[in-house]
Amino acid sequence: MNQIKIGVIGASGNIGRYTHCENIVKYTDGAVLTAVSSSSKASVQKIADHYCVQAMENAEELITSDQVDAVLICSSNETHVPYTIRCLEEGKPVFLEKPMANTLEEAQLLLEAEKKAGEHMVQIGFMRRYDPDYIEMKKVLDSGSLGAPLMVHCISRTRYTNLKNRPDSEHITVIGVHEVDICRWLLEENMKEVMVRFPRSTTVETGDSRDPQFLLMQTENDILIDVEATANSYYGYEILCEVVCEKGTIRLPVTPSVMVRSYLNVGQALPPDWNDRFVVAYRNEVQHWVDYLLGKTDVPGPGTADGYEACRICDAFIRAQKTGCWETV
Amino acid sequence: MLKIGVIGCGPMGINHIQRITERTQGASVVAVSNRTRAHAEEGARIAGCSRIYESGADLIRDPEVDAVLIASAGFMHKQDMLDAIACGKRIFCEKPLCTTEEDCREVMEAEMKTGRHLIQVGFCRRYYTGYLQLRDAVRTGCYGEPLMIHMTHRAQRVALTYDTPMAVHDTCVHDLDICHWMLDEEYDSVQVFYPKETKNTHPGLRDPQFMMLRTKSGVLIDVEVNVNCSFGYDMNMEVVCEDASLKMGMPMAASVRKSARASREIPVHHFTLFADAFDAEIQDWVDHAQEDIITGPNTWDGYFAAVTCDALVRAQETGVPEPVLTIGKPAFYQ
Repeated sequence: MNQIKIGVIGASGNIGRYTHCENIVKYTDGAVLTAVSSSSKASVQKIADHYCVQAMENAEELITSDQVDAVLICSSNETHVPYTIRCLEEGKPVFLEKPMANTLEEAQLLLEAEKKAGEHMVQIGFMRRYDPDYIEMKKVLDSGSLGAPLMVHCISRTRYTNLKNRPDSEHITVIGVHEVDICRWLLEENMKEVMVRFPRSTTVETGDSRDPQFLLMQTENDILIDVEATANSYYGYEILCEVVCEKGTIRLPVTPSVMVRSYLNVGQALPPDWNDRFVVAYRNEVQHWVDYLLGKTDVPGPGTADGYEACRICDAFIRAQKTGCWETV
Repeated sequence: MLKIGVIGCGPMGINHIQRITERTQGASVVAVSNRTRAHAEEGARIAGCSRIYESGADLIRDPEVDAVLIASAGFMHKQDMLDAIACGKRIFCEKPLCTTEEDCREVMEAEMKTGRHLIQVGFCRRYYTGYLQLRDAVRTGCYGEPLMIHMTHRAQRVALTYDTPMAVHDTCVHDLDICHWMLDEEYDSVQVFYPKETKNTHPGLRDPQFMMLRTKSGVLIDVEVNVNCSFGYDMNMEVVCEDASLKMGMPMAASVRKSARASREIPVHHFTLFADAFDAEIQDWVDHAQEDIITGPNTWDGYFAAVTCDALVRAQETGVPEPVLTIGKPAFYQ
């Protein structure tokens, strides 16, 4: 049976170890994990032993190995573009975690490298497109039964492990980028301009960092999207979204969990982090990537064009953080 | 028994007359006035009273009238209030206090000169259980400082006479009062954004609108003002605090599971949703008449709302943040 041999670069990071490696090994049809690499030598050996795969000395060794057909990159952000370009030079398809690139110049280089290597050689890790709740939301929206969309309210609450003095821009590149992509996908429109507002900042643990941030985007057809981006969410990880249409609204559900009644209170637990909340999406995006590589589907997942557009929008957001005005994308 | 005269027998006035006659304890409507006599007669019929006037001034001067409820058109409020203040009568004034900042200041000065708190303004939502519970939760302090508030103010549809500025004066005024009350803060600046326009609107009305208010301590409030939403009267409010997020509870309604759906009704109209709040605000005004105090929203709150509304209307036109500049809160209202 045809199996794609996958090497994971950045395997000992959070998303590498607990999401991608786990999913490839346990849940992905038509794929097998054959090699891992990471900047942390000690942890990567442990992971290699756990999965009985090869621990590569470095990314270059993994990329050029004949035990690797395709590469999943979830290493630190500044390595994304250089590693991907190396894979493309070796003719190997890539699944690339977001952000695609740190700068537009880098993104440009990546697009050029992909053009040389072939079409749709890179899938970007915009996993929300594979979330069953977002998929259902898009189905209701596309049915037209509620009329045209006018506004979208997004809430993105996460908890950084190390919040103190992180640059303002990370609210955009780490949190906002998901909202940017999912709104483009939901509405099938591009963004025209963006704005950032800084509310009163939480005093807890942030040092000089400002949190939350309030992001606004307006599409080419004037649909207004607002995003509350919180990096220091004390109560947990939560993603909420409401699309307001002419005749009604569609809301993402609260992630279901058992309801417990006790001590004058009724409630449910919320997912602790993104891995739990998007467990299905993470599996389905990699499965789609593998299916595409095996020719089981001819529809590719989100690619460099989507990644590039997200970069442009994030760039505009970072400008908007400084000017306080509408910034054109 | 508090003897009330009601000025203005339009839908709001009639609603109050019914309320006082059927439900309010310790009060009755003894006189009504309306510029069109037929409406005044309808009001009198419901109240079971016979003192019918066409002029608010005449009603105010009637010695049988202890207290005055003003439910006439906004631009008429100032004169009736100045007359009632001059006669030393207790006043309930439906929003707006007055239609301009200057008029609000004039009424405020007249009230302060008497040394008595005479005026309660009809910001009924302060009496709605949903907002009260949310305010209580925020004030426990268990959740840290509030940082942001997200609100929606959705109405099914509005009349063809409803225009762009009314989204401020008639609609968002309630949301800005609730936040001002809940946070006990004043506003620093406001801004208005325009999303894509709904097909359900009409010429002269930009709908929906997205209004943003910033308090002096930096709390950022966003309000979706959507008055032709088609699907019902849908108020939402979420207060995002440092340690938690607090959302207003949904209105009470039976839950129906049928035909592969679980669902509940949404109220049609603000009269439906806020019925109890209207009752409570009037009862509160009546209850404190003996002590001659106002525990509900007062003249300062009415003035503050007028200033903020003016800034929002400017913001609708300019598209940039507009400052909210009030005179300092007089000690009289502390």
